[in-house]
Amino acid sequence: MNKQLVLWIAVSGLVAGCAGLTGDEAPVEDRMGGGRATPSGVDIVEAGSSGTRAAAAGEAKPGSRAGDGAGMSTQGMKSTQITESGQAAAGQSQGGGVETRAMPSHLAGSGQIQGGGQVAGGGSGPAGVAEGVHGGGKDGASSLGEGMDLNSPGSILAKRVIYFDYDSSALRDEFRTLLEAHATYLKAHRSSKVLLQGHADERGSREYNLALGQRRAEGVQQAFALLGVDTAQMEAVSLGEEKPAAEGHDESAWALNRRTEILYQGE
Amino acid sequence: MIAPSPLQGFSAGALALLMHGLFLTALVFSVSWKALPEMPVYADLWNALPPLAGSEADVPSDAQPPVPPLMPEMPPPPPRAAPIPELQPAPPPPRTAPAPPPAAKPDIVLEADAKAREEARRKEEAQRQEQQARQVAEETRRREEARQLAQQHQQEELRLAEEQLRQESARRADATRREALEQARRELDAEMARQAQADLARESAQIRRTQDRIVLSARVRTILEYQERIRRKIQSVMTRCDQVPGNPEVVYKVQLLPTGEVLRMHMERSSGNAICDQLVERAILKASPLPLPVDKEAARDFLREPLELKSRPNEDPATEARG
Amino acid sequence: MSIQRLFIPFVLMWCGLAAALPARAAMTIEIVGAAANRIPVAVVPFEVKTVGAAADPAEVVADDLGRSGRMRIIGGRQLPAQPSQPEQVDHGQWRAAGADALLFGQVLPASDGRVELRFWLVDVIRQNTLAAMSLLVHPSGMRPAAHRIADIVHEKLIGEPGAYSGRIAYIVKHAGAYELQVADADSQNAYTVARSREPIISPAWSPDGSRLAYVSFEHKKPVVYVQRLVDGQRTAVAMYRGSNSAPAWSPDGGRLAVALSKDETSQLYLIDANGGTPQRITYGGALDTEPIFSRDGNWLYFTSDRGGSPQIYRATVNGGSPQRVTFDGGYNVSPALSPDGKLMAFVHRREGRFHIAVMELESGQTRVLTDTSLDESPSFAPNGRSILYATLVNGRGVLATVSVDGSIRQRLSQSGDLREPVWGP
Repeated sequence: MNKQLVLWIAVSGLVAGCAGLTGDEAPVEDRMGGGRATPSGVDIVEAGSSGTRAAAAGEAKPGSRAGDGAGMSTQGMKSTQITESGQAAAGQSQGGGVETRAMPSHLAGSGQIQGGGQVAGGGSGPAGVAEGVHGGGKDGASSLGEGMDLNSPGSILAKRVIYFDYDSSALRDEFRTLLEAHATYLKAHRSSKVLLQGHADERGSREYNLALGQRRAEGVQQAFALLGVDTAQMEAVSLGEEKPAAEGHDESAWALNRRTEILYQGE
Repeated sequence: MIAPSPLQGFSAGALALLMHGLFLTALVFSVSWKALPEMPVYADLWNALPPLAGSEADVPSDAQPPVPPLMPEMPPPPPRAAPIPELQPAPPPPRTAPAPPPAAKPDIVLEADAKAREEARRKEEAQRQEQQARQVAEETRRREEARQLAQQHQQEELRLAEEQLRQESARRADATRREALEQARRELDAEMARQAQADLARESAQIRRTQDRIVLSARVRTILEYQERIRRKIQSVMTRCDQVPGNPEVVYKVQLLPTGEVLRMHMERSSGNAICDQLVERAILKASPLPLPVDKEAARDFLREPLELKSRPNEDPATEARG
Repeated sequence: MSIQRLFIPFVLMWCGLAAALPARAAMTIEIVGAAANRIPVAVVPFEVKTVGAAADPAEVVADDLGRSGRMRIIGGRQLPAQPSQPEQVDHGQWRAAGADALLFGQVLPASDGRVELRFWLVDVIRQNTLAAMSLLVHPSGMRPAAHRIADIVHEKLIGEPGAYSGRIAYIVKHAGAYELQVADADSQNAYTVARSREPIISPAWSPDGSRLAYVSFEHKKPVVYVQRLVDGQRTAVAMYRGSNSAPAWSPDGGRLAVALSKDETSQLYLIDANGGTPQRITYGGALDTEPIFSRDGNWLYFTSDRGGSPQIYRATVNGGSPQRVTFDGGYNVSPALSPDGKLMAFVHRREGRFHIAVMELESGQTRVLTDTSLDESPSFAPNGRSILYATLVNGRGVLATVSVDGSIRQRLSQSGDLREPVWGP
């Protein structure tokens, strides 16, 4: 994974470099056949963005059926899923983990997860989410034992997504455990910082959706604050509707896109 | 030619007919001015019209306009059939029978009548008197008809004479008309002496109906038809004034040549938007030559004075027809 | 005898009637409605007398005018002749070809490498010249010059200025990258202003057209940038904790209104266009975003959910209690004001679909203009007669325009996934 990430960064760096050298407008103008004086363009390529991309890619389609909680605690699915998705995230520029059938994490754990230990039910749910982090190349970096491992697929901390109802930023009860786990981790790791990225579904105005996503991110931030996390460790931002986790145009996709993602610094 | 002298034997009848002719002329003029602008009525009336295409071409170009040509091969047969038989041979008991079946197209007639009166409300008083005069005349006619029952042939001749008279008089100056009217009056007096006022009252209603049909006589219909043709031709090349909100109206006065071409035009009323005025002006110019009746007499109605073309390009014609 | 007497008045009246007849005069004919709503205009290829054949401006003009929805172009084989000077025009010939107006011209060499565009617009029905003009341009400026000719023709025939020579900015998404592009109003001649692998949203033209403000996600969160078009130099004018977005220029170009979440969820602030300390405008726990300035610069119109659902409000730039502007429906967002300040376009949700609507601000009268379902980002043309917006067709973003009365709708031809168009000044 690490190798792939490095490779990716290198490639994007190269691309950026080339683009910078040749001048971006030239090809564009040629295509358009225009003869206009060329204002300089700006190429925005940041290596750091790869983490977000990988994460987003890994999360794409964490599951299309939000309903059947019963089938949740399937055991044996996680490893294969992770590998698949992990590969996808690393190897594709977008839309990795297409095959992933993991359920949205909220359906998994509630009640089953007590502290660390082997949380089968919790693990299966967020599998789809976990790969993103996995793909980000941080595995094992801040391992805290089995129960507090940020990235080990079995850990509740590998679950990073909180979902919301339509036009709502209220935290659903099922995410309390998840939030508590992250809060505990953050309190134990004062140097860790998280970016809370709120998202909205595609319906309506982009800017209004950005504001809605912001409210969702802040909802999570407030919950963490109440759980004792230092506000300096957190920043709530919004990506609005711009980074959908699912590409569809129906409620099943929208349900997956109304979310807040927890992004640990450096990922 | 004018004088009915050779018809001595039937002088009374001839004079009565002359009287009718005058009547007809007068009515044609007076009513056409009032009824012309009425769109909705025509819409119904001329639905069956030959599609406007060769304009003049599809109008009967018969050689003899005088007598029967008044009723060319024009379209709707019912209205044309109605008035004629009623006017002449119809010998039904003059007073009693409320003879003419309302048949034909009463709705149209009524509507036209209603509209006409509405528009010319200020003339209503005059009209009423006119009607009384007509009643008198009508009565005369009825008597005459009774007498003529046995003299169908001569009556045909009379009718010819009447037509000629009518045409002549239309062309002639007022003096001629007045002269004829004087004669008519004398005849009328004689007739009236024999007539009781009660009779008049009794038949007045029927007379009115009859008179409405007369209004829709051929001449009027020709005028209406060509108004419709002109309307359609201009409308077909008109462009909407979308830049002007609402329902702008532009009025142009247009003097035509006998060929129908626009000789000159000037704007009578602006829409308030120069571009919109231009659009209407262009449409009128593009529609030139405008279709005119082949019958010179009828065409004269369109040439005597500049036509007033009132255009509302943004209005939905369907709406207007409904209203 | 007495009866005879009685009759005299009648007879007199008759005579009067007869005498009056000739004086009755003027027959009136009403012409209601119109068969067409487009003016037929013949556009003749310009006679090019320069060496190194430049593009024929007539083609660009014809494209522009044809797109207006107000004119029907007669060209190509329908042209009965190809005049390049007024003496060569035979009005009757053009009238017979169905034209109301005729545009023709020449491209002539001028001094210092420039070219002269000489053109005439003739009303072949009324037989007068509506325009006879000459433009001096560099050969590279042919396209813009052609758009200007189209503007002039539009104004002469329709009576209001055209909007063909403006520029538009929009975001195009392709192959995982986002580009901020600027193009002619016909979406041709496009070039890229900024490109990123992360989303770019909310472009906004400075009033003088020299700069664009926009929001870029390159830092994993929204940050507001201002970029000069001439040299590409850009500044992050709002990069505060939380989200920074929704930039809008003040009419004087000196300040930006933005939505920041540094203090609270999405509130409105004013900042200097070069950066500097934000001055807060709105307060309260509601979401406030999408600010735009009124034409006089005294008001901000913006989207807020302070009433429970997202609606458009306005407040003075000094703060103060906002007034609600939209009331109809449960979702009214993304306000845009017409150049004369009388109309406000916005996105209105009806039965789960998002349409462009326009409100007459004085009366509050509102009209829905589009029937597509995912419309966004309305923006007025400089002439105030049409609204540019984006909509989704087959899952792909396309740009479209609609006249402010809703009567003329068009889609701009463009490939790619386009969104958030803004009409430049």
